Amino acid sequence: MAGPISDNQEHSLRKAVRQFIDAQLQGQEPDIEEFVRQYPEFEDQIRQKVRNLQKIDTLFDSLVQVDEGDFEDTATGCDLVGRKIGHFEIREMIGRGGMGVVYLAHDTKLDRSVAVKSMPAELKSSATAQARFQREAKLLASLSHPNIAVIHEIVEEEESDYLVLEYIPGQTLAEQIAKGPLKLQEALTIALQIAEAVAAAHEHDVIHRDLKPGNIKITPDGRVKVLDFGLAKAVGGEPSEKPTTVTQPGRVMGTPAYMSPEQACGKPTDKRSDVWSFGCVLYEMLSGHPPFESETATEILARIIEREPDWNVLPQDTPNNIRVLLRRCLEKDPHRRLRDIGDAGIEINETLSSPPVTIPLRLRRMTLMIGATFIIVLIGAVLWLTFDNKAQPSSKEIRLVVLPFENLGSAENEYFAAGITDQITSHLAPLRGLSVLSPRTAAQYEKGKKNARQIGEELGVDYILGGTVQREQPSDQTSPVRVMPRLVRASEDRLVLAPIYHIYNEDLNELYQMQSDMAEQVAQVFGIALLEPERRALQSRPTENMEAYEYYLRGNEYFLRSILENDFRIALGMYEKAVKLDPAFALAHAQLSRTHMMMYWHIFDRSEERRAMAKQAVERAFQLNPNLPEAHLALGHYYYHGHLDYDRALEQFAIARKSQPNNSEVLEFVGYVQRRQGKFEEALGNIKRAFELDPLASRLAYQIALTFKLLRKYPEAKRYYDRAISLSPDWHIPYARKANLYLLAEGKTEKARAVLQEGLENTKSTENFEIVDWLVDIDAFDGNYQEALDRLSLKSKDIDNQYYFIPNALRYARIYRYMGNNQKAKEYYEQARDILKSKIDEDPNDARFHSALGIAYAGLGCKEDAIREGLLAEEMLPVRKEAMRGLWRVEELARIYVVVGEYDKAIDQLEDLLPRPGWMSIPYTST
Amino acid sequence: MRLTVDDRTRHLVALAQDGGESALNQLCKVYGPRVLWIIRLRMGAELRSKLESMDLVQDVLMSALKDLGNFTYETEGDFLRWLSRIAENRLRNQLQRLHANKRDIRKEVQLNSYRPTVEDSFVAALDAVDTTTPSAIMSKREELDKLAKAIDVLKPEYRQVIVMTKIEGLSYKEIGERLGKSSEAVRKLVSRALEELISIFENV
Repeated sequence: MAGPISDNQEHSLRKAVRQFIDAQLQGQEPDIEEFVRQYPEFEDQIRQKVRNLQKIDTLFDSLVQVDEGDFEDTATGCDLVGRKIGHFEIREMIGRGGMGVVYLAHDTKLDRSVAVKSMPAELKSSATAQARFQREAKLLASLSHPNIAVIHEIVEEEESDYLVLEYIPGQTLAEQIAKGPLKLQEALTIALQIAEAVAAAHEHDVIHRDLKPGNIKITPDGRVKVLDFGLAKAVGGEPSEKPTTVTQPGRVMGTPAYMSPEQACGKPTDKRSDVWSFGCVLYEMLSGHPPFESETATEILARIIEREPDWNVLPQDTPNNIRVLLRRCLEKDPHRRLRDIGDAGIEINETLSSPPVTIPLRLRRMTLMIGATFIIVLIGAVLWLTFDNKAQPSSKEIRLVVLPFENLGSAENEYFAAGITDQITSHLAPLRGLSVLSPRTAAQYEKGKKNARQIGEELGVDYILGGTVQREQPSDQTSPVRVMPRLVRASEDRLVLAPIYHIYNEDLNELYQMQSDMAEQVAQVFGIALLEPERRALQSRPTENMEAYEYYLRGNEYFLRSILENDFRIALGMYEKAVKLDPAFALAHAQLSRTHMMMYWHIFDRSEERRAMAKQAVERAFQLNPNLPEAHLALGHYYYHGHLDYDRALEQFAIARKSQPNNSEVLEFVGYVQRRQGKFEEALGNIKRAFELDPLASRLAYQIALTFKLLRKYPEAKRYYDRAISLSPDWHIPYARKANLYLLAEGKTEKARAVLQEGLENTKSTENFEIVDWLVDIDAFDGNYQEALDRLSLKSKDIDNQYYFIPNALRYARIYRYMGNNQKAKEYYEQARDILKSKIDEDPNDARFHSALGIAYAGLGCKEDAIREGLLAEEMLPVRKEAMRGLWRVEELARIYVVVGEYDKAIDQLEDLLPRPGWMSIPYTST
Repeated sequence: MRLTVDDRTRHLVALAQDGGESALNQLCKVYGPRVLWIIRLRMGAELRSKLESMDLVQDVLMSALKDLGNFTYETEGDFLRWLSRIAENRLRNQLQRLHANKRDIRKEVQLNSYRPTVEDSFVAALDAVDTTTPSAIMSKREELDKLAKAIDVLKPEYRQVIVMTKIEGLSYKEIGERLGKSSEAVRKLVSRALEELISIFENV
């Protein structure tokens, strides 16, 4: 909807609408599209007004135009009450439906309550209709099931026939749902009974045809009774006699919302229509409203025929198999729909009686096997394609993405599907000639909403690998699993490979054997020999212990996720479990080492012990497998993060890269090391390349932005920050850094503030402390001291990252100093000084503390102490040693000089900084 | 479809004119709620607080039934239009009563001279008006309320012309004759009124 419009515009709009109405009244039938074209600025408003006009017209119509239905509604109203039909005394009216009025009556012979239904007017006139009705009623009478409302008899009176039915006290399901969606347990219990009732009727070839919540009653003791079986057919007649389309008033089959698509088209109905309606009812019980809803009947029909229901509104705890059941029931093509409602009953019954599915160990093993087996074929295919039937390998590298395999079965298969994806990706990555996009990237493309070409373009890949997993017999645990991978050439959307595999519940060893047999066979088929390194890679399994492998995979998930301490701790836990289960699991040791280093690097645990643990883990990894590329990677990390030993680190990374040329992580870290060395341009190249391999990794976009920023290429930096934000809008760092960018680039706070606000809105308050920090600074810059103080008071943590440590006290001090409140400032500077001194006692080698202490001294006017600390910090961490952190020391020294009044010296420092890539910029210094 | 409805109404009217009880009942039940709405739409909010609409409905129906003998069903929709006009008259009467604050003795006398059978069934019919409202109206209850509120706020001249065209179904020429305007002027008035109504309706 366009924004609010001015009075002037309002006036024009109204005039335009008046013209439209006038044209309509003249009978000209104006075309709204043309109208909208004339006044494009009012498009939304015009459409709305015309809609309202139509609504108002309809309302007037309903007042003025009486239709058949009205006569029906009022026809047999209270006529019968007080009368006697046969030996039944009519007591009161209890309902009215499309089938006539229902009364509560008393059976004077058997002294019980019954329901008496009067026949609709139409029937009385047609002899054939009456005969048919009697036939149906007899069929119905033959049904005997606890969940079906019984017909007792038909009473023939002069003016009409009456049906005597079982009286069911209690609410209808419709009334129940009106109070809110049902809990899962309840919904399933009710659905089960409905399914059983309908199944029983189907056995006798009786079709309900009008199953809906209004026709389902629930007695006070929880028993379900389905009403009005088969009557719809009896009353409505065959389609050829009387079209049962909804647009005809009067004889309507109730609301169309539960009609199957074939019913909606006026085609004959059968048992499968009941299955559809059942699906609608189950859906409504769970979600609170029917799957196809709209204002008008025709709209509803259109949706039934054309649209899929919204599956997202089903409650979270809806089990997978029930979701699958619903999909099968609400399948538009009756041939593909669930055929037998009894199956639905069985499925629901199993869900109700069995506990949540825990995946048995055997299945887990199978997952890995499936993955491995398949890879052989894929490699075969890839090599075939690469080699182009000649001996020459083509020089172009093939890029491939492995999309999550789709699970077409029950919940346990979900695991298969996920496992396959992981396995394939990790096995393919090392292969030459193939560049595989990492799993995290792929996870966002679940359920194929985009076509192959789009995915190909977006990710820049040549081939897409996906597929489906399904058990042959869904309910039979022992039946084989069918895996159908599909390899598609993206740019042409062409299916290149689509084999079908049946995986049986075999012993582990036999499966390995099958695997290598297949490898040979496939190689023959494709006419190539698997290259030795590839074959060896296939044979090697990271671990024999599948449980350990599972923990390893989960550890990876957390490790790669973010840089929050908690995620690393969880990853640690996972890897530790993995190595406990299989002490020979080299890969897990390598990852363990890396995680320890992350903890160390990101200041979460900057202790000797932590570093030692990392060393230990990586050494173990090497012991177990001296050639493991991941171990080299881990060792590289150790040298880099642990000791700032750039050369050794790069050495290790180079080795890792040899065997895994397209591993984006290696490239990424090479880039980071180069940055610390001050080789910013080269670093940029490597990180960019990493980003190409993992195009959806927001952290990489962010790192590229950061590098550009250091190079003072602000427009490019901004572009990449924006990219990072669009990839992960709930990550707070890019917002904060982008704000900083505006300050650097322009020295003005307005745009920065806007970005920070945006960041606040999109991120979680428990994580976005850096944004708040920046806002405090900006408020201080702008002179909004009170706001700055207020914001600051909301924070409890000090700023503590790898570049600097700033206790809150220091920040308060600075704000008060700007305000001119020297007393308070002094108090806080003293506080800061004490805090920092004790920190230094704990860890005298942390340069950050010294810099900060220098600033505190400067604030207190202790000039010499201040300068001493500042210089000391710089000495400890000079720029030549560590370009990025070192620069901070220089900046802080400059600050110190400014505060103590040694402006010249400050300028010296700045002049030193400015020509180099760094954090400072000219506009920024003006702040 | 409309033909069927019309036939039915004709049929019922004929029956009612002959004294058929249930036909009378049905007519009241089908048309009663509509008369109620028409009256609501005609009355402004102020009036509605002073006059009980249900009373008016009874009033209207009574007059109608009394006068049924004089009614001839010619074209589609005649019955409702006829009722609507009666409603208008009764409304005006009530207004005058309100202002004059005297009781119309003659009216009461007339009431008493009703044939008992008609009265009985009539009362029963009236009782039933609210409880067995035709579903077409029931389902739109809320929206009709909204419309009524919107019409309330409308300028009297707009309201009048809308009722005349939308409820009574008068042609622009007919309306023009009543108001002393050309049919084109009436049409323009209607478009202005409708546009205004839409604006108000949107903001109710």
